[in-house]
Amino acid sequence: MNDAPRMTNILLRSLAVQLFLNYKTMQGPGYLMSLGSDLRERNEHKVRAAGSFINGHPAFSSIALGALTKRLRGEVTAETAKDISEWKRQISTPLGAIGDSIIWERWKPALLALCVAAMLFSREFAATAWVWAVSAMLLIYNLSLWSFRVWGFRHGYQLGERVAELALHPALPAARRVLRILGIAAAIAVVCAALWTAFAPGTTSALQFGAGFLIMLGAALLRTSTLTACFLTILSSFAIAYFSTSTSLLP
Amino acid sequence: MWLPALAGVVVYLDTSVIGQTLLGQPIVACVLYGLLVDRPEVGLFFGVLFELIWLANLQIGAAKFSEGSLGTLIATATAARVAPSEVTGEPAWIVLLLCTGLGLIFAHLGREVAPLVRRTMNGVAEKYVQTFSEGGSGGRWIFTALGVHVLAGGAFTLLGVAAGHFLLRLYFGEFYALGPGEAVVNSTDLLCSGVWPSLLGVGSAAAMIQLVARKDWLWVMVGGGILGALLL
Repeated sequence: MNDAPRMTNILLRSLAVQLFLNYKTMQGPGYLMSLGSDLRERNEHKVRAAGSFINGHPAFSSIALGALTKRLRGEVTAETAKDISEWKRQISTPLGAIGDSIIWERWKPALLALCVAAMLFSREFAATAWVWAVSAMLLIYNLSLWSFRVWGFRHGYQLGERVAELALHPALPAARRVLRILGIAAAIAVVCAALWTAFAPGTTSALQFGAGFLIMLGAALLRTSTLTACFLTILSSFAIAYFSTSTSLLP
Repeated sequence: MWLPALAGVVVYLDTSVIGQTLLGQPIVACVLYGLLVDRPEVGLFFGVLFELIWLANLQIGAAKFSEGSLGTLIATATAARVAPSEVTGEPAWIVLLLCTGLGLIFAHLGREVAPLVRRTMNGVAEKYVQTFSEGGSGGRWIFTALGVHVLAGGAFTLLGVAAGHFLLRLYFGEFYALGPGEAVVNSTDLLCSGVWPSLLGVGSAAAMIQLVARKDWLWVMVGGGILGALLL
């Protein structure tokens, strides 16, 4: 009998790991749903341990799922269930911090920013550029995350309880360096494309762009909301239009 | 009304519940919606603008976050209902400006949606674990959880689009579906067209803030500025 866990099944179910996201156990019940098919003997301790508190980046959940699968294959008593719950709580911090900083804060926005820059550069061909840029972005993002999920599950299963060791994986600093460069390149592409788009119509448009840019920077430094920054920017664009043009609406 | 609500459900599910494949991002979802209703230019306008603005809007842990994608969809769906301007044959700037404001406000109001759903899910999740531990499949609770998310995404989008139609009707009267007339366009286009470059400025800064550490901001501004100037 093949004893290997049904990885594809678990990983496909884990795509909905946030379905039960709640304030008490966060993604815990989502983990239970993902592992449901692999829980052979369903005793209450195993179910409670699988559904206990955990919260991390959804793609990084595969690492914890691999490790948890291994731990739940052994005998689980009330005592071990408590240990597993505590261990899940402990690995939440690295799973969340590393996953968020790599994927939410760099990989995802960098791809989206490059996609937007491509739209802005292509101007009247934006619709054609959209088809290619968005298809490429969706393919790259989803294939990369799926490959990572597979890698993560295998390594998590292999390491079991010692899965936190992956936080010291030598590839992590290298990935951060690559993502830092990608982030800078994407930001330069966006700033350049937006400047090109906004400055072409004339001085008024260029001034409005500059005002928007500075207001957002100020809002970030003063920790003001994006909503406030946007409305201040719109008001500033009115003021700039008022001083640089004359319309039938204005004196 | 059913199409924006359906699109809202898809966007909400993809953004925070299932898959998170980027299908719900403004640059993807709004352009697709625009194509569906034969107004791709409206989808592209809001998709590009709001994608940059909400780039720094991270859905991390238990923190509150703006529903940027739903706000953008609401703006797109509302603007797409108004016919292009009689003068230019393109969407009138006054419509785009009003819908931008609407999208921003609803994105901000959306900060309360996730906490509400998560509080509801406290009980649903507990019942799912309980049913599972008693030997049941928990299917009923899986569908209940899914239903809560579908209702949240659909109802919120519907509320936004309905508010948008009411707002535009107030401004344009009962003929708003015909598109703004020449008088309105001529008197407002110059003033309202500033929404595009100014919010593009906001979006560029948001992209830089999100993607680059503060110590590297100068390099991005200088690099982007020089390259932009060379292209001009």
